[in-house]
Amino acid sequence: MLTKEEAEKLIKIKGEVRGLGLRVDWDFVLREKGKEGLKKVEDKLAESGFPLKYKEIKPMDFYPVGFDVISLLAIKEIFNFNEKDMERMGRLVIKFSLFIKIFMKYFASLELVTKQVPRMWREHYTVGDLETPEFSKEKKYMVLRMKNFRIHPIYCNIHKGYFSKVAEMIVKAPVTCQETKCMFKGNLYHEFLITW
Amino acid sequence: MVKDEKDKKISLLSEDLTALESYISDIFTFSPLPLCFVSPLGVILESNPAFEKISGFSFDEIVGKPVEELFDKKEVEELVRDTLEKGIVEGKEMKFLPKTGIEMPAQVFTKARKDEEWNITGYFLGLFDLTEIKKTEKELRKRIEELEKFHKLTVGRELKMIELKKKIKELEAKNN
Repeated sequence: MLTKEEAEKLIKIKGEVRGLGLRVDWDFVLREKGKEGLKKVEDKLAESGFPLKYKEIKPMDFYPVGFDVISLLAIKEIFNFNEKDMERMGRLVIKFSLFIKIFMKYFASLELVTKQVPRMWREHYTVGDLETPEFSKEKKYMVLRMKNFRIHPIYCNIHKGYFSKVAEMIVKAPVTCQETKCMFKGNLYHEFLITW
Repeated sequence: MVKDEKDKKISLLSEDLTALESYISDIFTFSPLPLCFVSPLGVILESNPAFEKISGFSFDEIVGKPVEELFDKKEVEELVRDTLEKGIVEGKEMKFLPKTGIEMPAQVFTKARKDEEWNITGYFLGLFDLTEIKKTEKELRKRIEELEKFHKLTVGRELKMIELKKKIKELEAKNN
């Protein structure tokens, strides 16, 4: 359960996230759970000592990444979401993402997108680095490596969903995404294997 | 001081961008015309609620779907070729294939998007459902055929009457 004490620890995590990152999650809640659901999230945040209203989120501003974690933990707790639900949320937030629209012009080929991956990441977070060390159109796979992002395990499933949906938008086929390395399981970085 | 000014400008630009994004999103969501955005690879990258409704696919199902799966193969090949060559297609009649599997006649419009170097980065695709129009067209055609039959019958009868009257007159003339 998300407590005030835990929230106070989380808010101290170094790094920032764009308001848009927060807002897409709340857009998802609004779409799936309606205004009542959204109010529950706002109330939970106020209860944890970090009040914020949906309408106050400025998409282009930067917020502490810990605040994003608090928001995600609140959503998970209120709606009793499991790992699959969080992954689904990661897939669906694409719909609300302005950055995806901005980067759509690179969705003409896998090569173009892979070149833009580090920039796409930096538009969202001031911490962590995302790269594609390996990919093959012929062998139908891509590896995404996320370094310096030891923030919270709640991101693992969200990112899994997000990356798999973005990959589907490029490779023109249903994809499978697995987290093959995780910083919370003793690895030096997170790694996702996407196959199609 | 200079930094403050720069921050203010960035903040202003960021607010403008947010307002613009909200405006575009509202139009896209509001549009009763089914719209989607397709990548040069032929993958649907975005769709509005009207498109989700007409296709019967959810956002998660439709985004990432090859556009060829929603139309007749030959027709869509022509559409993509024309869009990429001419940049625009206005009102091409096509067979749309929604999730129900029941073919739907549709009029399709496309408009290519280009980047700063004039490379095509994808295209918008809009649909107009022709089901009702085609139904009305069919009914009208049926009515016209019926009217033509009726016309043939009544005019034929009229011509026979004229002929008979003519014959009567000839007979009367002979008798007199």
